[in-house]
Amino acid sequence: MEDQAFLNCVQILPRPLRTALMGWQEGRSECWEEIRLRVERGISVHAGGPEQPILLGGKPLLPTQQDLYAVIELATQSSYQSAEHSLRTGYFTLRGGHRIGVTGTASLREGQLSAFQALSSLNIRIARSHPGIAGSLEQKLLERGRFPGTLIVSPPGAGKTTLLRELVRLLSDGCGLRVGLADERGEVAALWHGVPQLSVGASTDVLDGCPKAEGMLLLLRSMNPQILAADEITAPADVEAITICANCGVSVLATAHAATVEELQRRPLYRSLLEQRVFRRIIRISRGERGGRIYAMEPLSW
Amino acid sequence: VVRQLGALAVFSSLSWCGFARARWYRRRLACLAQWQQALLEGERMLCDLGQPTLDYLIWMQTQPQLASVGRACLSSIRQEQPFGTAWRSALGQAGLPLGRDELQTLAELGNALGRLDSAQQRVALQSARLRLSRYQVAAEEDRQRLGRMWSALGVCAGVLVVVLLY
Repeated sequence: MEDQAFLNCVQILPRPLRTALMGWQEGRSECWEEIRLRVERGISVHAGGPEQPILLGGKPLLPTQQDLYAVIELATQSSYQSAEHSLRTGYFTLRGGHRIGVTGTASLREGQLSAFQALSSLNIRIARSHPGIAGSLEQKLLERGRFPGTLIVSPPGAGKTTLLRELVRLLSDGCGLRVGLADERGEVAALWHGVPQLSVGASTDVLDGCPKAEGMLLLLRSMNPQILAADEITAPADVEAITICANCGVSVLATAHAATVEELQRRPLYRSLLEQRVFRRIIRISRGERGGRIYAMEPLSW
Repeated sequence: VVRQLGALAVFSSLSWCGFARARWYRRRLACLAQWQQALLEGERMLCDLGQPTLDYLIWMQTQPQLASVGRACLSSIRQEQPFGTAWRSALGQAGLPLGRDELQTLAELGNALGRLDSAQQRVALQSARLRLSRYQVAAEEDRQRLGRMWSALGVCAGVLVVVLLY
């Protein structure tokens, strides 16, 4: 079976690179999570373990600066201005929820990143739906018919967004709860002309492109959700919005970068959130021996 | 009768040549005005609203003198050509009634539209509009001066050739 997510991602590569990558993958792409392009340093893929460089005739494939610009142009369909807002935060999202991270020499305007003078690396993160990955958690989602506030924690790249998407789908379709999803980066549901490209359930209302904090409050006011979900709490405004939502009787499902609860407690941003008992439990993600994920749900103790 | 018809044909042909040249000046002026409108709309769509460049090209397809540019550019982009190349080639193929400098001004937009951030695109569009407005003033003068001259020249040449031949 063709790996549609991979095919969607390679469509944005210039033809010579695309051909090389298509030839090289030989059915291995299904476990690929990222494709990285570094100017004059090579293309590599990441499938959980160490990066694998892509070789052509035994030699590394070296993308040029122009190749990286071509990727941006193809990915934005020659519409940099449409992706500009997102690019200021260092990434933009493609149809299908795939995300392209950008680094290079930043050009600042009024102290804020406005564009890149020169590109150095691109990281194409392949978004995939993994229905059923949260099977081990399914029975534990509700406690006395209610979903307690839950925080998903893991280091970057461990699959928080994927698990969040799957839990939202289970809560919506499986438990029949109304979920409001504040999908700031468009990575969770990957809305395209109003239709989620990745399954988030029939009872889920998605708001994307809007800052999380504003989005959650907007969803709270307008959609009467039973659960509010958001990816990656990173700012004090997010914490404030989550607290308001929790105090309004809505359960919150969110993700955060951290390996352990202790690590969360050391950071002032999360400490206040934990102290207010917005979250009753956490789900830790770790990698198994064969690259698979292990989900551990634990109650938060004070 | 044949001689008279021949004389009429010669006169008409030469006059038509003169009028056609004069008409070119009128078309050039209209085309410049149309581009002014298009660049203003580009500023609104691309810079103010952040709409995709493809939407702008689709809009161009609905504009009388610009439709062929929009169509050709869109088609090239769908074949994965870079915007700059597609834009320049579309301008070259469209056969617009414009001078070399005017076409050059428009072609330079290929380096900015869809490739730079909206502030830089705005600067490029405004600068192109400013230059086009200067060309528009010159084109109006040309239309009045050279347009009339070419019309008169065509008619005079027709009369002269008829007199010489017959």
